[in-house]
Amino acid sequence: MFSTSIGKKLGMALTGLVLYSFLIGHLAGNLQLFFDDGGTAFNTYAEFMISNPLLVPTEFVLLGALVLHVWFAASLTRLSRQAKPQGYAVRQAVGGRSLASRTMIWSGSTILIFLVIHIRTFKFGQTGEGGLFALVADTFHQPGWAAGYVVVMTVLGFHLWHAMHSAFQTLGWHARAGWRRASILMSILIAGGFAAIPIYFFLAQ
Amino acid sequence: MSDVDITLKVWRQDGPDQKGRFETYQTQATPDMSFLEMLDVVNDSLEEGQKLPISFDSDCREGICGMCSLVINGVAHGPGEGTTTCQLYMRSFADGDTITIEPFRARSFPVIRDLVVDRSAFDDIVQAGGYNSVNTGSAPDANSVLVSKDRAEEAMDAAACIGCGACVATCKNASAMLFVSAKLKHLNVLPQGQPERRERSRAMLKAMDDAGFGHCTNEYECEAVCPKEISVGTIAFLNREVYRSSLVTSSLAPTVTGE
Ligand code: SF4
Ligand code: FES
Repeated sequence: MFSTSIGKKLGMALTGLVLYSFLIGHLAGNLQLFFDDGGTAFNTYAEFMISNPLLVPTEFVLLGALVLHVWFAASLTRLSRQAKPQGYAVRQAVGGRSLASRTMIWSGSTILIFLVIHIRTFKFGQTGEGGLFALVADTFHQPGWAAGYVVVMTVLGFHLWHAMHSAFQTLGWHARAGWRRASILMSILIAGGFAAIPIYFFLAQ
Repeated sequence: MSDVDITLKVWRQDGPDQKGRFETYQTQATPDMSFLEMLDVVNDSLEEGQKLPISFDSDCREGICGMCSLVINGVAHGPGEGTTTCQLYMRSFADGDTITIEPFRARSFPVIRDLVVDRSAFDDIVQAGGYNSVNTGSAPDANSVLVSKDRAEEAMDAAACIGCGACVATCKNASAMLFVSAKLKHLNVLPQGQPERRERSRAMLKAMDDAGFGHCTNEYECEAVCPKEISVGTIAFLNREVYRSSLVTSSLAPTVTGE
């Protein structure tokens, strides 16, 4: 099944939705950064997550989903390039083709590179007195880091713009404009929520 | 409306393995000429000058056979919704316009000459499963096999596909999924199509992949250019049928009649 074109699309959709749900959970947890308590709530939450025995298995599931998502994407992109070796001299976009849908592979690659940096900084970064909260605050006090994060979160928003309705269409659940609108709204909420964190810390210093 | 002066940039290619190039022609057209008639006039004058005419496909010239093709100014079948190239009229263009004409592009649609491409890959897909092979005997009594109106409409909508290939031409992945889904759906939703339903889904998917068509990235360009306005909901149907067919092996599949 997963060797056929539709099967690979199914793989993209399923792994994509796993990663999508992670994003929602991750954002929900991160919202505690906004609590005006000097980071107590967030640090408690971070401690709870680190000491949770379910953490490692969950991380493996997510890593697996990510690897498969990238693998299917690479394989499908190759298939597409082979199927259309020559383009048109004049090209007009019609239908639902958008900047976001056209650049999925590039926005995806950007996020992949970002992930490496992000995990190194926050998961394996040195935390001192103030815990993870202080590390987050210190990082985003630096204008370069804050700006970089906002840019990448915009790219993430672009990726999600096309992601959700595309995944549901692939799963065989076609609901036209409804999915599109929901997909766009979710992408703005998620990307906006994440981008608000560096902005907040940068302005709050 | 008065006549229009048009500059054409046409893809010319002498044979399948030859290098192609754009050539420029000047022509005059009346607004009520069809696009293909305009090309006929250009060809007449080329022949008068002892030059090779531009090769392009057409047959019925009334939007039902699926033979005409062409990507006109970057849009398969040119401007206008729900129309084929043969249903496009020169009144859609303004005096002094430059029109670029290219062949349908996809690895599975190799150029034979100029604007003519080989679309027989579509025939291979239909041969793989786009038919009913079970003998249904003589014509049944009226209303002995019930099909609801909604079902019948769905099947008819899908059956409207004329196999022109514009969906493949416009898709950046050269995906044939709109075509395949239409050719599969008009059989798979009707009682007569049930015995071979799963086999058909599997076989047509395999034929589609084997023919070298790409995958669908859900950008819905195909729907926008399809002269028969086949909906991308049909592609979602194809996806469901493929998942379903892989869940149940055909030997175990019950023979469903009607649904
Ligand atoms: S689905 Fe539409 S565009 Fe594609 S072959 Fe059929 S009629 Fe042509
Ligand atoms: S020539 Fe038959 S559809 Fe255009």
